[in-house]
Amino acid sequence: MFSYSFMQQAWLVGTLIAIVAASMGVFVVAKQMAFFGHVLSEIGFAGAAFGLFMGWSPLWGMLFFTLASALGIGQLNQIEQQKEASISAVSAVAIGLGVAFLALSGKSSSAATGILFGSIFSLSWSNVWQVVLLAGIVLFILLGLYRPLRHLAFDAQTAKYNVKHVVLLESIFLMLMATTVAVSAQVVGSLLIFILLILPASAALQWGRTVVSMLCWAILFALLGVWGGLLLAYWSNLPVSFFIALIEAGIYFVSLQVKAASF
Amino acid sequence: MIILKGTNIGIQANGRWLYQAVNFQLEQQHILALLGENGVGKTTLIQTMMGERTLDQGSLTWEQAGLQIAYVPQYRNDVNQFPLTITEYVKLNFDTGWQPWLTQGEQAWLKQVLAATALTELAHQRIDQASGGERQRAYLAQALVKKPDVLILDEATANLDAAAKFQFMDVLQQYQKKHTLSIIMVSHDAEIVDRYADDYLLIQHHQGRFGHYQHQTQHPLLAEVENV
Repeated sequence: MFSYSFMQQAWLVGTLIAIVAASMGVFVVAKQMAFFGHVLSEIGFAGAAFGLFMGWSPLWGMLFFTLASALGIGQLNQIEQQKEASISAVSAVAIGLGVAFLALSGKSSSAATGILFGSIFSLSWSNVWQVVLLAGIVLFILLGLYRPLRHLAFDAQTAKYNVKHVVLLESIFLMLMATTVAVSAQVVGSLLIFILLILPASAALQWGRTVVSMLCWAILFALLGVWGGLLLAYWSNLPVSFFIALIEAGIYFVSLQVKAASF
Repeated sequence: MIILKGTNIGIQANGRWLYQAVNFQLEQQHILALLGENGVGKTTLIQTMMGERTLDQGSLTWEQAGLQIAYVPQYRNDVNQFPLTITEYVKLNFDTGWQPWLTQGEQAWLKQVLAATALTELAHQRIDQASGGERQRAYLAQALVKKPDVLILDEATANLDAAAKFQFMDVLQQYQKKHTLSIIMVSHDAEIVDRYADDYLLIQHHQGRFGHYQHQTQHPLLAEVENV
């Protein structure tokens, strides 16, 4: 099956995205920002639809919207009050905008399905290089800022006194998250970002006892899901995201059960 | 040598004065106990020391520039949610630099800190399964990772049983003997203050009383605080 170029592309992109989303996911889950990750993906949907409407690649539209809103919501977070409610409002507007842009763009409903549920088997090589570049940037920054981000994510109470430039660091983190969401949506679609960003990391936090081991578990779980999903989709002709969702949710629930039983 | 000097300090909350005209000083290698009823504004004073908020009156002066100040807050996030090992939790405070792994120097210092806080044996135990005393020592170790010149402890021994709280303070005292460290300690615990404090700042009735702690003779002072 690797003789098909679409399969090579899917494998390369899927592997990279699994690594990036799972690594970011560990910090997102530790910071208890899973809900915000979900909202970012809805904003990403609006962005991708906007991209189609403008005649850009959906990835750039998505990146544009998620980055802008990550910075905007970062400002909102400084105010803190009514955070949940304001995030919900933003999310509602985002989905509405997405529907509007899709209608305006006059594209077929298959474009919408691609955005919402992923389209990993219909990438072009230029898509692939965009994903490689963006994923590389996220991983590079994540590695460089590993120490302060680790402190901020796992012990915010002392980090705010110890870590320098906390506000800047938070903003950078939100932008990394926005980029990760935009890139991951290429594989699993904007509706199912959770399955690569949140589920592998949440399962990993049950197993790992150091941050590095949590990262390793999360990446392993994400890779199992993506590779398994690609194989099963290739054989069965059902959507990849369906299989990834099943595998990741399965890993998560088994992890919870095993850990609950071990207490 | 004086490390920190507070002159004529006043702090307001919601437009009314919590206290005014409070004077105190922190001397090097001393333990300054910060005493007072709940809600009197002790944590607020600490926040001003950490630069988290500003004074409404007076001044706080660090007598040397570039002092490393470590703060051990009273409350932590739920450590049960994703339990790290004690070592990993302590390591979180190595938070500067680009390199993801620890240097040899940092490894060695980490080992020393764990030994100094009696955590070597427990290094790989999960922090959520540690006892209250062990957990407080892990928080202390985490703060010591930064090699602080000044350590601020907010009710570190509250909720610990007698054995654990004395072990905590002994660990701290032993460390202080070997390193340059001045300590500000918020506490309600008469026994602890009586045994370990060098100086005190009692905040009461919107005023501050600062002095050198006279061991044995000053129980009435503590009794005032204990009554709450």
